[in-house]
Amino acid sequence: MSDDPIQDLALAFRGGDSEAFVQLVEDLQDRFFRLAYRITHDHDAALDVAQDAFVKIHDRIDRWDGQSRFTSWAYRVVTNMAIDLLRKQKRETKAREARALEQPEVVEDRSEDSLVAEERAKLVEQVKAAIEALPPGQRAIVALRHYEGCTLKEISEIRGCALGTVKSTLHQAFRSLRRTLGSETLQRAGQVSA
Amino acid sequence: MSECSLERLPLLIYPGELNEDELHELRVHLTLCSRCEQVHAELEAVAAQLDLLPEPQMSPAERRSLLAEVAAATGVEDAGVRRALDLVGLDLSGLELGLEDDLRASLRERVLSRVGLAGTDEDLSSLESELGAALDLVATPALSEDARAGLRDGVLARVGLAPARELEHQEAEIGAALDLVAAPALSEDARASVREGVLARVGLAAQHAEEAPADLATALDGVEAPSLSEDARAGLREGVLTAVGLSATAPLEHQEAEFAPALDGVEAPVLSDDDRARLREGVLARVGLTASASNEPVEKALDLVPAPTLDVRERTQLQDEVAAQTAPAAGGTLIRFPRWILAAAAALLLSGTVGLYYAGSQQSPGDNTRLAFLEAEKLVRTADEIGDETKAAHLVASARERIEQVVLTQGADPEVQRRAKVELMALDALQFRNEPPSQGTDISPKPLRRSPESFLRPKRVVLERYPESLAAHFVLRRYIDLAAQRETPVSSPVLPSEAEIASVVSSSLEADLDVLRAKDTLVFQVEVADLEKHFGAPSLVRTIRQALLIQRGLHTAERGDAAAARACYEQVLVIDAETRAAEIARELSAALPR
Repeated sequence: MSDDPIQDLALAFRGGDSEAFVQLVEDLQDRFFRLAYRITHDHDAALDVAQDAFVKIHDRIDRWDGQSRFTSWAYRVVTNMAIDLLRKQKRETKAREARALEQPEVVEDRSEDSLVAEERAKLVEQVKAAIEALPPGQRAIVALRHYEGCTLKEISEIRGCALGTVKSTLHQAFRSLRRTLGSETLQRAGQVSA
Repeated sequence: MSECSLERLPLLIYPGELNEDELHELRVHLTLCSRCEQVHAELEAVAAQLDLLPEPQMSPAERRSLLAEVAAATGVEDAGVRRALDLVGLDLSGLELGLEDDLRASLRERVLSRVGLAGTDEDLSSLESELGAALDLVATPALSEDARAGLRDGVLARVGLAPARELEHQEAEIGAALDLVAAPALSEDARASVREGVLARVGLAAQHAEEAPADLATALDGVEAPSLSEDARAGLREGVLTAVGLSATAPLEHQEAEFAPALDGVEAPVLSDDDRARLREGVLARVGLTASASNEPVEKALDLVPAPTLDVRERTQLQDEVAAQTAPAAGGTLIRFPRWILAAAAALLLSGTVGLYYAGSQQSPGDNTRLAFLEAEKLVRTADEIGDETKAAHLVASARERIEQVVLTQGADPEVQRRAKVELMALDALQFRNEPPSQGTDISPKPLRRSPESFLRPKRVVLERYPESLAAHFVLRRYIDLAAQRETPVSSPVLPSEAEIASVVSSSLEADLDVLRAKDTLVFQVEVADLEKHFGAPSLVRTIRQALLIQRGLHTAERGDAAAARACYEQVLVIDAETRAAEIARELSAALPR
């Protein structure tokens, strides 16, 4: 028995205890979903990723060595699946945007209330857009470090890269976010004054 | 650090990435390198903006669905699904005959997801309708309309819900149960019964009360708890009403608004205008002030305080306090009294009152008279809360004895005679307030055998002369009860005017009782908090705190909780064991039953 109940459950499941797997799903599903959402920014996609990740973990549990931390291994599965999905979505989005350019723009009739609501949500959307502009790998590291609280060492295990790479990637991600958030703000300020 | 290592900067934002030496080194570098300092500030700004994004969450249904889907995809049995099936008692395999696969899957998913929420979902009516709708999908040819309805009701019953057609009836019963919550005379058993009833009616069986939403169970537990503030009680009542889909009624708010200000800060405040005027003069004289326009705020505060008395030290202390506050300022202008100082004065005087209340033998005849009347009035007002009939009878006998003693010593004063008569009538009426109806086989003596007329005859003078008194209220209430219980027609029915008086008096007194019950020492505690915030006089604050604790101890002792009362008195000693309040606390604590 270790001090980590998740680790114990994973070892029990690896040893053939299927009830332990059900318990793992119960205990980890929120964390899987959250991580997947932070990378994909899509609720339904995050649910799919979490579900598929559990199935994959179930089918490939023998690939986990049983020595390293199970959560790091499991997070790697979730992160990779979310990044894969994100890349796929980006390709589809580009194709969709190309099609949309050929369509005439529809001007929405927006009420005063909805404008107020938009104003309130504007800042959140700005941050969301800035994150979405990051490459998938940087998004994953921001999600793991900032939102999931993983240490950089854990992230290097999850992502399978050197600690220095994680540090520089995190730094690059933050600089990119700063640039994006700054330019967005300037752009909006210019629009308002005009 | 001789060179800039920008990659290290994000490590400053998150704890635990650097050891102390590294952290120190990096911070020193930031103070020396403006470029890194600027980049670091930017990174911190980004981190703060990242925190703006809301936390993504799965709904309970999504959680349940994910588990079921994973279980289905991996072939692992979902114990939760098994439990849900057992709970419903529904053999889903029996439904396979008449349903397409996708429809059956949809039905199964909806039923299971909803049943999985049964212990936690507050919106049970929504659960009921959703579950019902899911069950309506069962359209096997073998089931008749009646059979389907029976199946539906059966499943609803198994998950603790009644068929929809009974909901209207349930709402009425919930309303009746909630009416009891605010009624003045709920015993522990009655309250437990109400709680059980409400829980049952909102879809939670009594035996599963521990599964009730925590806030509802807590709210119901808190009904009539003595330490609830007015705000808390209002919130509680509204919360319970909202939980069962009802809203608070305007009349109650109106009553609270009308009575609360008049009763704020007063333990037994039913004094006539004359009594109050005399009392005010007496109090002002005792603290060395005279009635004048400049002292109006103080006088108003004192109006709220019944018959205080102060020993020499306390009086001197209060004089000093008041003198300090009323001394002309440098420009010759009198300092205005803020509300919290008035509250402090009232509370100080209240502490004197507490001492007076329990040191009757040392008081003047006039004080004893007023105290005897106050005791009787208080007893009449709170009698409904005394669950123990023997104790209530003892208190009534004690109050009667004190008033009779007053009549013996002060009987020459017509005003004393008048008050004594009213209070004795009220105490007398108390004996009849909750009596069971008279039965032919009942051989118990005296009052039970009285006819309504014989009961009323000697008390008519009370109705005529003091129609708004408590005595009139109880006399009329008992008379109407007696008349209603009699099998033969009433030969001398209640006059319309009497009924009207009874109705008006009864409603106003019920509201009065509610306000009295709602008032507790927490009302003062809020003001003490204000005092501490604005007024740097620890001794004054300590004195007030001790008075409040004594008052709370008296309240709890009256409610029969000796342990809680003793704890209050012990806190008084902890604050300051050398004060007059500490003396009183010791006496009261020693008098508590072991």
